[in-house]
Amino acid sequence: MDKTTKIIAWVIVAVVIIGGVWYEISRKAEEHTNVLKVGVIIPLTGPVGPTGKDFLNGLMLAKEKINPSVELYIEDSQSNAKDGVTAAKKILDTQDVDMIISLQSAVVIPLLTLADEYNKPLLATAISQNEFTQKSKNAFRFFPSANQEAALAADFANKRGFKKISTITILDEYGVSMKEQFDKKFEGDIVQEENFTAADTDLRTILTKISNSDAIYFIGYIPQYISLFKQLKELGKDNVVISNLITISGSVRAEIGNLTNKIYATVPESALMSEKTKQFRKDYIEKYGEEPDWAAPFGYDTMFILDAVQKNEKKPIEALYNIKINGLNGNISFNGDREAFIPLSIVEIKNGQFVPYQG
Amino acid sequence: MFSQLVINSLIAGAIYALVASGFSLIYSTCKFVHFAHGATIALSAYFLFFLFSGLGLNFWFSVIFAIIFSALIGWLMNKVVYQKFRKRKASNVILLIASFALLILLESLILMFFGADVKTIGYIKIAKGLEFLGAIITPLQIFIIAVSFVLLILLWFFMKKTKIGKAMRAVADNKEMAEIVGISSKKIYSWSFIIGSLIAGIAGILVGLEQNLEPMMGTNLMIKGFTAAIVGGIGSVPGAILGSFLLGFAENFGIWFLPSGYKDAIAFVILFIFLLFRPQGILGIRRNSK
Repeated sequence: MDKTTKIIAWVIVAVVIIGGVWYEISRKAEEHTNVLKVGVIIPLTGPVGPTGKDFLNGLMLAKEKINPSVELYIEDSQSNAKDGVTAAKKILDTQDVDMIISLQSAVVIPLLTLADEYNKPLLATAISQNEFTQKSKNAFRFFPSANQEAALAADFANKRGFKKISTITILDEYGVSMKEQFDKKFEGDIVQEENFTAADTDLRTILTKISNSDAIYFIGYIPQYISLFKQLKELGKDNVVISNLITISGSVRAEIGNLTNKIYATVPESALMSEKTKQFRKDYIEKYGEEPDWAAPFGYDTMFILDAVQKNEKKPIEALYNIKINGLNGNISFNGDREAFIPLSIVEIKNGQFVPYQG
Repeated sequence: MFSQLVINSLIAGAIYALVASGFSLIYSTCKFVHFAHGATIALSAYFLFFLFSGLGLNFWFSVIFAIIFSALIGWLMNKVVYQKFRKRKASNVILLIASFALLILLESLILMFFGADVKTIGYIKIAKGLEFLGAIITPLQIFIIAVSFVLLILLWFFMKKTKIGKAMRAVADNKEMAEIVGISSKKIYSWSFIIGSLIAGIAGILVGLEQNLEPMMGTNLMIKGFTAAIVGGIGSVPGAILGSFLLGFAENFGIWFLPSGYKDAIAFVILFIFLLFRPQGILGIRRNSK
């Protein structure tokens, strides 16, 4: 083999090696872009911990069912903004995530600043603040807004002919938004406005203060709902209670038990019995050995949204506008204001069970 | 209405007193803030839940085991963690940081084993309370108030009349002098943790029955218990109990006149007032005063 042939042979070998390496890198890059990487910042501890766990269970159940090309990077927000932002920053700095999903008003709102900074879409559940989606083009809401939820509760109170209502709400973004909207839409008088903090479960003096009202509009988290119904019963108060979907949580309904108070709640379609929700409940109980709460169907549907985003050829932020899902919460799609409309209805809770309100 | 407010205040005060008395007892002898006391409270409540609701054991048998368990946990915390630090001449600040670490560790363990959801022991059926002078109170709440008053008397008797109690007071007053006269401070620290944690066990069980269980219940209770102990005079067990009732009354009467969202603010305003104008608390003794 003369010198020229040797050079040509070496060049061919070099080209083959370089070409092979280049092909492998580009193939991996292509594979990488096909996987949707998602930062999941949810409360797994703290007062909203049970809700976060329920949401995550729903999310993982759907992941197991449809096996999407979605990678989840899960972090605990510990039910507070400070730890939620730290957890999100850690994920955004260390993993090249395509989008973030989160839950709980107190955490989601500060996360939005971070989502804007990194220019990543934020898909949020359990966020009631009306203006949330108006704050940024990255803000997507998969949950009823306060306008929708509290307005339905107020409308129900108006139709029932209630003239005087006392509000007892939690002192955070969620409670404040809900109370404001209820105040706006309720045609009667708000005779008393009481608040409590997330760590407070002693509502006795607040309940003692409540008098001369047709009903109580209550907004809090699971521990406060349990305290409310327990302490209403102990104090022998038979006030009508109007609230939202947390009332249908298993642990809250167990506490309601044989309470004689009239209790009404605004709930999404996923809380009502249909073939689809029955199958979901069956699968959930089979996997986790317990009943799903209200957040699990939102987690379940969220995974279908992520799957649709991953399958869409466009960037996640553009893909979110184009998805159409027939989920547990009805037909889900995001409008131009990045809101997914969740149909709501009123249920009545009797002996720990809830039934659609017949009017 | 007034009588109901008094009852509500007594219930809140009694719950704070159950937390603050054990905490204050440990502080009085060991001279550091044992924040992991909150975790002992939560652990005893969860242990009762595990024995009674999980294993289905007899309720009273479960209660006794939960109290013994909490005393054992307290003894272990002192033996395994604090005693080692003391041996290395660690300052009280180091012990305080260690107590925080213990609190977080134990709460995380509760979370790992029992999950984040709210648990109910479910022994006492919820029913309308008894009417008493126009107010409503449940038998459990009467029991909680009674236990906190009995504890006040028993602890006073224990500290004044028993050999260990006297030794505890001696160590609390002057550790070096107590050791010269033959009192082992090491043993007294252990006794403080055993008795303080035993009271925490009783507190955990009663609070668990009254308010349900969640992993962070100890931290929330400790914030109020600590405030009550400062107000009453940190290091003084009767002071801690007195401070607890003062706090309970201030919070409940305060939110009767002010918006209820100020409940925690009222507690902390009282704390600031005491820290500024009477840092030794109601029954505490001012140190370094000439």
